Amino acid sequence: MNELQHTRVSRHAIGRVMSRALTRGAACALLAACGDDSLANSTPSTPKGIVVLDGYIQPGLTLLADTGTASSRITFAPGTEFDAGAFELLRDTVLAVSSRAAGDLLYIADLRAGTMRRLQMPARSNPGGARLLRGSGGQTLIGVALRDSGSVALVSVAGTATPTSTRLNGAGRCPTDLFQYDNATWVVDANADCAVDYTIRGDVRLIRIPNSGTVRDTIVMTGMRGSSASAIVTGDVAYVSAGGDARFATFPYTLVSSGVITKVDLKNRRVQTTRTMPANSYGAGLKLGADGFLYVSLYEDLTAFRDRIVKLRADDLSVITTPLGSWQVLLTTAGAEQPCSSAVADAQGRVHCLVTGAGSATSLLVFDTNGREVRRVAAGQGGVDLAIR
Amino acid sequence: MNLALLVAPLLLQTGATDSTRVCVIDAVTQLPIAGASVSATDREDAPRRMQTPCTRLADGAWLIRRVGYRMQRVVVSARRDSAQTVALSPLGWSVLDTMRVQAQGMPPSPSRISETLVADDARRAGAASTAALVDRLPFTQVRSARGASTVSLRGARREQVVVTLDGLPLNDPSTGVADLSDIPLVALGSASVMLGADPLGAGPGASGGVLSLSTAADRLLAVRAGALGQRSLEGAWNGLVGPTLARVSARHGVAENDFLFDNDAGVSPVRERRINNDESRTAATVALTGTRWQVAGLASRADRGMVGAANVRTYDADRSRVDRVLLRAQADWSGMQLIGGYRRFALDYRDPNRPVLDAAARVHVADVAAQGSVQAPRLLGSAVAWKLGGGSDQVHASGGVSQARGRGFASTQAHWQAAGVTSALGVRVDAIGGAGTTPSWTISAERAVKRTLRLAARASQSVRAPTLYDLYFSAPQRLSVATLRPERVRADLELSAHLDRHSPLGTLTADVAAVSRDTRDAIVWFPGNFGWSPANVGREALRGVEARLRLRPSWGFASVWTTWYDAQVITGALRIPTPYVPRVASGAEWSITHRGVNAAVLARTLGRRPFTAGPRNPDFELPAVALVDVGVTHDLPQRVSARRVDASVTWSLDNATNVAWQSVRGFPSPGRTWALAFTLRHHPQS
Repeated sequence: MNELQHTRVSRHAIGRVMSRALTRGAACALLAACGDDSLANSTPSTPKGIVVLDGYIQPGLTLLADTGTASSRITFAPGTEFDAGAFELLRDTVLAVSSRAAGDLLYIADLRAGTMRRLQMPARSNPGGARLLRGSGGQTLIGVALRDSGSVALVSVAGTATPTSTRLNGAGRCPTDLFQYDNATWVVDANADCAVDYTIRGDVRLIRIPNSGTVRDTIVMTGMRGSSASAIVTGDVAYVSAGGDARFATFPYTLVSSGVITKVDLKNRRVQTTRTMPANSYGAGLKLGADGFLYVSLYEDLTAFRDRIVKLRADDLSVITTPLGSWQVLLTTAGAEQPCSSAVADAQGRVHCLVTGAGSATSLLVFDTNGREVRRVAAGQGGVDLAIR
Repeated sequence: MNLALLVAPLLLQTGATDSTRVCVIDAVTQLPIAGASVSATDREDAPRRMQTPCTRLADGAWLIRRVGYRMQRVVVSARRDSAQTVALSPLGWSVLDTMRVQAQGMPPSPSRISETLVADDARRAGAASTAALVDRLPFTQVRSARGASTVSLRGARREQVVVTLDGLPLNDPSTGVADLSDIPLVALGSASVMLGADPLGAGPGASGGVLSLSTAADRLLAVRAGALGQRSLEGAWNGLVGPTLARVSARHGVAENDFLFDNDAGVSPVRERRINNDESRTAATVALTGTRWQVAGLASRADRGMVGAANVRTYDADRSRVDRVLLRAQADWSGMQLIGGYRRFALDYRDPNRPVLDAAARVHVADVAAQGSVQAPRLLGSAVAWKLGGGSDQVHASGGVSQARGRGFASTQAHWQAAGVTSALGVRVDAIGGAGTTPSWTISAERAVKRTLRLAARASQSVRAPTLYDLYFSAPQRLSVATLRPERVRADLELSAHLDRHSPLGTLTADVAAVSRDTRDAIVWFPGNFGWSPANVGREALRGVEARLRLRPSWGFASVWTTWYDAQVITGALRIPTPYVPRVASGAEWSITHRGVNAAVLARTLGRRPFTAGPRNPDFELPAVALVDVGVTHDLPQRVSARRVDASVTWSLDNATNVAWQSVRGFPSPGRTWALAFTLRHHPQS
């Protein structure tokens, strides 16, 4: 399980363009700190760097330091159909996936070497997310949730050799995320009709698939709905998030249910706490900050789609309220409110998030613990997610 | 192409000596006109309709009328002339939207670069579609994906080019883009390209230029077969039905388009065969021309597979059907032209694996206009033309998408000459629902420096109203239309020089132009925003040079052209080159005719083309490409051809060097393909 104690940004490449855009700020999850940083560290350290996923236009990664304006890029070219809304970062490795509408591909980037490698997933399997499950001795095991086949691909990669893959079937109606715990693969099933139009069919489920045998244990996340469910695991706890249910097929859009965060006791296989996001909001991109708090990125409503950030205590999922109620107060240097997405905090409690402006130009913004902007730096174009190294 | 040469062969076919062969041409374009009526001034006979541009007339005085033109009186004398040309002047100043029957194009405007290509020449050079015809025009860039063919001019985006058919705009108001693929080549007489903003002739949207298609009056029957399952049958006929000239044409064609290509969008390049790329297209046109009125229509249906980008398999079963109906009527009344038009587009997208994603869109467009001229003040020395019009656009699509808006405009233009300078000034005001009232104008001046050299300058402003997003449903998304300001070309500037010189080799024509275009509030779609939103992103700037050299010797035709453009959107710190616009593009055509054989070679080069809306980055550019098409037409000997029927065989080889390339990223184009066509042409007695 300790292998999972790394910076993790969940992913789900939703086939629908509409939903794909939502992932920019929603349905992302983050686990713990990075590298040597961990929740247990008593002295807050500064980030080694920030990784921004440019999900659109010119897909790739923009790498920034904790200070300054310099950046470097790793392009995912020529994957022009790339449509990931989020990614996973483990030390120097980034994983992201493209959906069935973008070629069913797994992208593996090596931040240290500045290289990128693509692996072909089964045609029309509609990958929803990838996790680095194990890595040792040059051998890496990657789990990829295949939404349209109700299965998980376990891809073994060793150097430049041809990867091998096995399949875990019976992984739910629409597996969107996975992790390993206690000799089992746990799958987050969005329980949606992902192979068709992502219509929600029921509550999100956590399905446990033991490493041996065919038994499936299912934990139903009652009241949790969303085609972009994902999980963050820390110790014996999983934080499962789903963005909610809405009807985008007709205009004006209608909200069926808001996003939900659920804390699951993996050891006892039971739901501990559930937190529904504020009324009228949509989305629940969850990240665990290095300061120990959970940060949820969502839209205030389905009218203006204003980016909002909600900060939760990790133990009981209670909301850290502000003068704006549930919303975190983020102010520009001029004192104006600043909408922001894909938020997460470093060990010092500084919130890092993304803003996309004209021409999809992306900026990384950093706010101090009082919510005042302390940094604004160009971070590529078409940014959809970030992680702190 | 020297347009006057089109008329010369007609005049040279002299016959009996007791009559004179009279051919009618457009006074502005110098192109032949069919459908004129002829009546003697001293007799009460019913007017005689000319099926073709030429007829034989006995000595005497004759009145020649043609809808859209001023009537003209001519005196024929066989002793004096064995052949005579009658040039009819268009009624209005806007010759762009006069209905023409024979191969015609736009007026060779001295202040801008333009070119007309006769459809039959392109057909003899191997062109089999309207897109192929347009591809042969200089300065054009045709892009094809998922069965649609669109055109870019002067470094503009596709929606910044207006395409007209006999003056009726073909642009879909929901996307702003005109699809050439459903216009049958057999219906066309010519295609003309005119570069630069044209706020007066084409109205809003023509920031980059205008492509004008004109219908034809041929009688022909052609059958064609080729690689990738291409098969087509097409025909056209014209004749008199009572006093009315009738023209009809029809085409049906199918193709599998299952070519091999290198899929480089996966892990490593894989040789694959394109699937679900088949198409079936049927189109028909009809036109009726009376003395003072004209009605024309086009109906088409296209069924095709909607293959996705390379390596994307989820669209492998998706299908689409596009139905299109175009109607246009025109009449002369009290010295004015009254014009009405109607267009209907119906788009149906089917996903057999996910029927819930099926989608449909219906677009209705109606236009009315009136144009004429009034006597100008003496200062101007010519008539002042005016035009008034209006219309409405309606779009209804799946998901409750519905939008309607009205349009209206008024424009005027005048020409005058002073101190050896020919000048023109025009202004236009458009009122578009939701976009407000926007004025635009153009001014140009031309001066002959020497007998063979002319210098010209032009400045224009134009607007492009925001359109609805592409409703073609390649992605089944539903949208609400954002409120946008009209995109405004603040300054479209052109300085040009034109040289015409007769040499022992033939007529040599050269054009060179320096161009500049600055657009405010450019409307650009950026993915990544919620719902892929359009936005007024800032300034769009283009700087460029265009050059062309043409030689028309007795044995054929040679042409070479090149463009250099630096086109980019500037928003904040971003400098985003206009997608798919290469810095350098060029083309060359060589055609030779000898002993009944016409051989043509068309070569085109495109520099590296950015394919994203991001900063210039070699990783996101399509590579430079050079393409060669070859076509040979053999006119069969007289003993094979029946009386007044010519037969010919055309063999063509597209992409002769078998280059792997893409005009749109992710959508591979076919490699080398061949086709063989057999054509019968009937020449009615004139």
